[in-house]
Amino acid sequence: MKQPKYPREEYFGPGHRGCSGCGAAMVARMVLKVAGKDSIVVTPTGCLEVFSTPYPETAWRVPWIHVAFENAGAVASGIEAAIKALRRKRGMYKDRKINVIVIAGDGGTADIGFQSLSGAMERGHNILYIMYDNEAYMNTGVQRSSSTPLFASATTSPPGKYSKGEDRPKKDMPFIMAAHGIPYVATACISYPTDFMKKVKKALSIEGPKFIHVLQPCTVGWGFPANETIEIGRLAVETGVFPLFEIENGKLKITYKPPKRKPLKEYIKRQKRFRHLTDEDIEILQKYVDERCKMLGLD
Amino acid sequence: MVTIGAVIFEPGNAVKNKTGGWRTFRPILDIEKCIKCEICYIFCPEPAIYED
Amino acid sequence: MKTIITRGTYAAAEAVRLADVDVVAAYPITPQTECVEKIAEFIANGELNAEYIKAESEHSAISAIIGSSATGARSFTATSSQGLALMHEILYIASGLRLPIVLVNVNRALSAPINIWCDHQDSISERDTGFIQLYVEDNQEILDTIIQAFKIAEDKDVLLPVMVNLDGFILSHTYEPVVLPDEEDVKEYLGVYEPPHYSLNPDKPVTVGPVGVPKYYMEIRKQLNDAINNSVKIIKKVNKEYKKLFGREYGDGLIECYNLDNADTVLVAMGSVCGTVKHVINNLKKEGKDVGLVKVRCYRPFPKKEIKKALKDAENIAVLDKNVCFGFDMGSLGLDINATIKDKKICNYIVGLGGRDIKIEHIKEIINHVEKSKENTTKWIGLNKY
Repeated sequence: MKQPKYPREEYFGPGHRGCSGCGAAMVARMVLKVAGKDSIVVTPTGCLEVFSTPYPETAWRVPWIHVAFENAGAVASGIEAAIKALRRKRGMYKDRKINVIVIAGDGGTADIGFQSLSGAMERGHNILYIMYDNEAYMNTGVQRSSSTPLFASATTSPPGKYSKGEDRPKKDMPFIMAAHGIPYVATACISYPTDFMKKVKKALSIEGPKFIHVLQPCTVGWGFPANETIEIGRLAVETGVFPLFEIENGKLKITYKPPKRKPLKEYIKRQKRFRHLTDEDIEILQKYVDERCKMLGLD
Repeated sequence: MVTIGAVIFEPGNAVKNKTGGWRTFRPILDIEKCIKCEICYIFCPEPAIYED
Repeated sequence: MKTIITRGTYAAAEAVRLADVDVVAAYPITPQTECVEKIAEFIANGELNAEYIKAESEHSAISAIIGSSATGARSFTATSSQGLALMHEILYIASGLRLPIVLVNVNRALSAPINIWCDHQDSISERDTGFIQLYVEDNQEILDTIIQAFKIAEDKDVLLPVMVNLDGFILSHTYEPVVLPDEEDVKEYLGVYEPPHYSLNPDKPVTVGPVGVPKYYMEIRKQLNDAINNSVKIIKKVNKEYKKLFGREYGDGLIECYNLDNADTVLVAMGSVCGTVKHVINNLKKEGKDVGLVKVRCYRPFPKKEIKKALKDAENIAVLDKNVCFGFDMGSLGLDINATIKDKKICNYIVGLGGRDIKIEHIKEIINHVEKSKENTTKWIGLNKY
């Protein structure tokens, strides 16, 4: 019998209400395959929260809590503190590691939940915060977030006579998190499950705050057929739009170097959110990507 | 009867929910050709693919 | 048991120590700050074995203790004014998730203009959040009420957060003698918190805070409404038990009636002003005049039945409010008394906003005014020309 490549335990699903080809569901499932039974998950308001828990049904098989949109970092801090107190005062969870994991969208992380996240990271709580990034507010119908890339069309950053879509580049969450001096930051993409799950495993083995930024293409918001989620994610990495790296104790390490970076156009042309762009616009974006890849030492 | 604080006490009971009402395509597994690469297994947004 | 001379904020901190709280999360704000400073000191000295989360905002403080309480830890936070307002959204979630959190609010006026002194606008603005709201009169009552608050909140028939309100500066920064019960006695009284309903524990996974679809939402809200209504019984019971064990009680736990026999005129008030009112009542009694007081200790759930009974013989009812319901020209307690009592003269007095002193002469002015008044009116007391 061949050794299975991935853990067989399931702690998320089946039966959730995610869209066909939903990347957020893949994130939750992959994370928990690694984290296992002894985990407590916090999810702020967002797609994942909504489609996994319409009362009285839940897709979660580990303890899970949703409190509000903007406070996942604080809620996780409280859970971690409680575990410490219960361990010390009541002898609970003796010799047992309990993973406290946040799985939050880009809006709940980079925008409205940013302060709460920053506080939790700065205080040094032993938690793993995973931002599943679909680059807009998908749950409310594709409004731009600070994680929306330059020139992408969203309902609050529509292209028009006076607009090329989103007018600001994507907020650099992994480096902002690294600036908190936390021991582990990584980027990942669901299209590279082995890499992603390896990073989750490594993060969970480290004491202190950890942050993983995982790219999760969204069929609805980005405008591509539901069976292309993985392919689009792969293109994001192969073109260098979304480089895979780790920042361990402040040290940057590229974890995947595309043998030859593909032109950005191959990624852009597959998504409706970029269909208004001219070749010149794409050139501008290509320049951004090239500069960033150079800065990271990807080329 | 609703539960206290709307807490759900039965883990994973969403399995009772019949998904796929919105589905237009359906993957078909050809066991003969399966090389157990586990690609379909790990990318399934639902854990809908089992070994047996 | 020993008696110490201490300020309100420290009395609150002592209660938290005695209650052997597991997790505290807080953010500094005047006039509450000293309370969480003192708790931090207790933890630093090993006098309290608890985790202390130095939250980066009140919003995160309440969010963090929702997390800790849901994980099964006895949890506490304290705040004032703007801090409580910042918590607003999350307060509903604490009650909705049925978490027995105790929150001390040191009452302070709301901005603008910014003002650090006492009134009740902050806690009254959180009236409908599903918290049990208790208001205290002096520093001893602060200590006793916080200990009771844990007992009430954690009762299996309640399981709701409790907000203990004490007047900023008037109590928080004023030294009074306070009897400290023995640590062991309080420990035995409260016991270890073991969530009777749920906790986030990997051995028994639960899903907390799901989407309440329309098919279930109303029933879930009704269940919460029933729980807070039913807590009346538990609040009374705890008051009685506490008397037996620690020797002190506060009326029936819900309201305290003072000199109601033979009193045609009765004042209704909450918080520290009740002390001033009692002083005036005592002096008037010496002059041969009986005036009564109904101190509302438990504001939510509102003790309608008890208040109705207490005011049944009153002819002139004067309701004191340290808050305003803008656009209705009344205070919140005034509105509630009006909704509870029919066919009686009820005058409402807006007093002490933003730390305006409520003096003996103001109380006398109120008594005179309500006795002479021909109809229900609202009057602002101690107001200068503006």
